[in-house]
Amino acid sequence: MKENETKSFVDIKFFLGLILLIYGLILTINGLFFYFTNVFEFSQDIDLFYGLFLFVIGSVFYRKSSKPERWKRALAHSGMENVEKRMKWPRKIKE
Amino acid sequence: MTVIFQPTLVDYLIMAIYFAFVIFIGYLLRSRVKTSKDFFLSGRSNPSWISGLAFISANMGALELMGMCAGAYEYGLIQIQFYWLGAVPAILFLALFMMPLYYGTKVRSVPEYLKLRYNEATRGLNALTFAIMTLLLSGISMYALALIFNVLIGWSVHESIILSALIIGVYVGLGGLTSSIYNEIIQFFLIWFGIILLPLIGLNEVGGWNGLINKIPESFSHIWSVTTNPSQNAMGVDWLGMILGLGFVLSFGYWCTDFLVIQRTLSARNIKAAQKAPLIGGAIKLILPIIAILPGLIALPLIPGLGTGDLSYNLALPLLIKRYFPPGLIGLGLTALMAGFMSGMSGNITAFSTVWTDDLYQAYINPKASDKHLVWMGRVSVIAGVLISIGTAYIAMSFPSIMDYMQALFSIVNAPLFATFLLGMFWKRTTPWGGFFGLIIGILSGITIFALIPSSYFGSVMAANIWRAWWAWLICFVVTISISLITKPKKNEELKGAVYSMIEKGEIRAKLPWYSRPITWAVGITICLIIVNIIFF
Repeated sequence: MKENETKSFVDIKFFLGLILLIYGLILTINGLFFYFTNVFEFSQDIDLFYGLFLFVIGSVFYRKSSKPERWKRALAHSGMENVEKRMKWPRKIKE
Repeated sequence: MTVIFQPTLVDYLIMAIYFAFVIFIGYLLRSRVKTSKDFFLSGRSNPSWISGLAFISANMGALELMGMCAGAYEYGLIQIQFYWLGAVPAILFLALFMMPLYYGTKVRSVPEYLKLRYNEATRGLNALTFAIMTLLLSGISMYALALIFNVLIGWSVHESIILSALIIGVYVGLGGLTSSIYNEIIQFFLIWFGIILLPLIGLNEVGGWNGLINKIPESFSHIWSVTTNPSQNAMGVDWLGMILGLGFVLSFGYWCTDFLVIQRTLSARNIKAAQKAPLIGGAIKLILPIIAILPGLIALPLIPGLGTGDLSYNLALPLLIKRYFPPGLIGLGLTALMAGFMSGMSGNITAFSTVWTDDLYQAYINPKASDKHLVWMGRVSVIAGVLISIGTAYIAMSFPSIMDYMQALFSIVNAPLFATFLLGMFWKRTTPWGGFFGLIIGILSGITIFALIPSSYFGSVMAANIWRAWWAWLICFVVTISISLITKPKKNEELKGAVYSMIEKGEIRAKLPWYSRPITWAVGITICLIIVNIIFF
């Protein structure tokens, strides 16, 4: 059997993307806070840059993952599904 | 007591999110774990990269990051051999020669293989020693985490132990090995993302690699040229001890026989993925020193005085985090450390749960147990394992050095076991009772050396561990051969699949493009290993 013929339980990229997104967001907000409170030091600004970096990496993982049904239902229930759809990047349509 | 960090709200938020997240994973996976195969082997459904990352992450647990960083500060670049000589050759051997046997026989655990190759007694002996060792190691991780967080942020040791036990009990109990593996992979990325900035910023401060080399003692910047004589390096080991003890016995004993890491590769979806998983791990081992060894070397000129008074070598990494990270990133760095400790604990707990349920409970207590009952027993044993680990955490408290305690355990349990495996897998003539008595005498001789010969006789505690492992292995090897020559071997039909010369090689030799073959990957990793050894000779 080829390696890509079976699927594992839940896509690990979903969990990975989600936690990196959350951490990226927190660090970015924290970095922005330092930025606007005029603490201009590399050691403080690093939160902002690293937060953005984690956010981008997290977005890539999350975007490429297949989400668990429970998560999709929870998003649909909370109305977040449409927000997420609007946030999706343009992608190639496969024939 | 002075604590090193004063975490802010955002740091606590990052740590709290991590705790919530690992429980969330266990909750999501709970309904998907239906059979004992799901619970103990993750349904044998993982692709190679998941099994490979889990294989490495399970080992990145207890004291790995902080211990290796501390070792680099204390012994210099030679500490890197725990990653290169002390891991990569053994991992390649596991992938190419041992995985076809482990995976091909469809066993669920290492003791189960021993039953297949030797007899029930050998399986029972290994299951028992392994179960005890995993609980002791899990307790060490638990205690180490509590100790570190006590020093770093002032949390009480007892509260930290209870909290970590609770979280691991919940997420492993819910999702079994799958939950543990998923968390290990997340922990792997968190460790990298949480620590990688340290060597980058640190190297910048010390003037790059050349600047660092100029600031540390000459003997601290080489790995082989300082091993002609034990007195040339701080570790007190010569090249022969390094190759025989670390590079051969300790390394092969751990990577090729320890069920904690083997279990991750057994979760792979097919034999090719199972072979590639350790190879991925081996490649990662080559670059892991960037976050585990380099910070220790950087700390040497920047934070002098560790290892004297109250300042332990183990604080090298936390003190670098404090030096460079602002609030927010401190939370991420602490989460990375916490993740490292928790992956070690959960790895030990899942391995214990499998060995207890499969090799002790089902084999000796309830042979007719249904599959549903085994899943239930697996969950119960996770909880029991966590509770016993709390007890062993308090035992670990009574030892002066938990790193030495861990290495001593490996030298007594894993080193002789490797001789049993080596002979069993590659010499058809090895008999069931040869294997059993060789193993038990090997373990007993390890214990005897530990109890009767002081570490000072070998030069250092590390040298004592390395040489003890060598002698325990050699005694097991010789005794197994001697007894095998006078006892009756198994018939050929009984050894089919369990001995390397008697396995079906069809699936292993299945046509793959050259770049996808395990042997190609292994050759590539070997070339890289040789190159880095020459560079840092």
